Amino acid sequence: MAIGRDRIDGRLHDRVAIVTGGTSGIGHATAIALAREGAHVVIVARTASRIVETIAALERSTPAAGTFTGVPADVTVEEDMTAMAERTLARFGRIDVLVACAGIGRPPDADGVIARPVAKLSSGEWDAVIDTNLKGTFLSNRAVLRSMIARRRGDIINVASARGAVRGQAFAAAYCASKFGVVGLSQALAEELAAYAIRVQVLLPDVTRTQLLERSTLSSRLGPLLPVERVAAAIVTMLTLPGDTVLREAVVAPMHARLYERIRT
Amino acid sequence: MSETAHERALAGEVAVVTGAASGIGRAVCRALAAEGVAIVAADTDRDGLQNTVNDLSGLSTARRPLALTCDVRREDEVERLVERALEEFGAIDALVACAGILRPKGAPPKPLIAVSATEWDAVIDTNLRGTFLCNRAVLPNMIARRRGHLVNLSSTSGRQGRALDAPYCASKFGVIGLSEALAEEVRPYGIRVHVVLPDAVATPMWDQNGPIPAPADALPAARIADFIVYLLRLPEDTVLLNPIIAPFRTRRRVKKPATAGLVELASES
Repeated sequence: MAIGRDRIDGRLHDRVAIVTGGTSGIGHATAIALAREGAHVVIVARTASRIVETIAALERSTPAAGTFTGVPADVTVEEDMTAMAERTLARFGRIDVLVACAGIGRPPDADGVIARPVAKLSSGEWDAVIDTNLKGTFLSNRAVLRSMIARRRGDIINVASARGAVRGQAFAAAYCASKFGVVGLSQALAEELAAYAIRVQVLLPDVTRTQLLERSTLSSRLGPLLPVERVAAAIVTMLTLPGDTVLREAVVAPMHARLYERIRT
Repeated sequence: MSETAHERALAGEVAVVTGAASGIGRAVCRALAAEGVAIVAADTDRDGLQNTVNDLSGLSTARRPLALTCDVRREDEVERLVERALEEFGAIDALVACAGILRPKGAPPKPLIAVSATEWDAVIDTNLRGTFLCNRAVLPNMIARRRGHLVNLSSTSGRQGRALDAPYCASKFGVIGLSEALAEEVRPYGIRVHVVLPDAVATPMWDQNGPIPAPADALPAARIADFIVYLLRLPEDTVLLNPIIAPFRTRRRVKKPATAGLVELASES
């Protein structure tokens, strides 16, 4: 089978896919891309009203046959993640795909930009970033495993970050630690679950044009940014790889950005 | 619109493929020819090249390929390859540099202390110097046209050294360094450089491995070729950095007790 160039409707026909962080940024674009490929999409995010908006966007943007639903849930809360899996199973009877996109650069209530020197990093801010990005990935992954293991199939894609998990960046210690952690978690889990034919892959996008970034002052310093649709397309590619193949730690980057340039703040 | 609408069509483009007589190189020729790409197939193995050409003749989409014997270690032969390609097709849109060896013919895996300078040179010359020479040779045409795409073949051995194959690992680390440096240099000209890191692939390279067979789950070379086609088709604004393409090893069974917890989880549901 060729990679990434079949008809756009139906490469994920009838697959049941959960997308955490599905109402914004990469998660939102991924939800749309999965819907266009014919998947049933379960949007997971904290704010119910934004889930409703996203589902409306999915229904507008696709000719596909999937069913779209949402679960208001916080990836840092164990019970929420259990409910996410249970409600998906109740509705669809299975979970074929989890794409774990939920992530933050800094706590939503923090002042200023993402940049935060470690000397001024409160443990509250540290915890907020690690909880959402790392523990949230662990909890969402773990929640779908029981059903995937029972069926001996499943695809998990965790979204890390090129700048956050290729090498650490000044003033983003918590973010980088969380994203390195996501890579470690994903690699460990991939090894554990291969015997059950559950494929775990981790994608490392370079800086994308998301609200997370646009709210900060960094965007003007970074040159051309990657549209989130490119990351979503890469996720679809990873999900539609032939069954004998995985991509490991793929970094998707804009052609013209200087990838390893230090982010100065 | 859709993601696929952003993908580039390759029909009508011209690709130079080194190492085209076997393995990944032959599979790349086939995959690109199926896309309507004109192929310039290069290798030292004349018979193998002929087999590749025969392989392409069955494809309805294929344009008549140009097959040339070329030793990528030799500057004059590589220059000549590019001249002939330009004479024949007028431009080079892509280079896929697959020419590579694991060890000199007949040499077994050996500890570094036993590696002769000649053996070292043989591997580094083909894998690293050959990639440099081929990359450099196609650049003038690409720079003049402000477009082009280079795909170099590294390996998972280009990220992690393995005992008993130090020259190979060093050469494949080198290919990544070369590719990253070049990518930054030629980006202003709209030229993309990708470097691909395959894990185990079922190719004749394993034959050099003497008593060590290819793993049962080694990927077919066509997987790597299809992935390279995917890279070439990526939208112009996107690159994948150092992607590793690997077998999904479902057959490797984790024995109890490591999976005991998971088995319990599964049986509960």
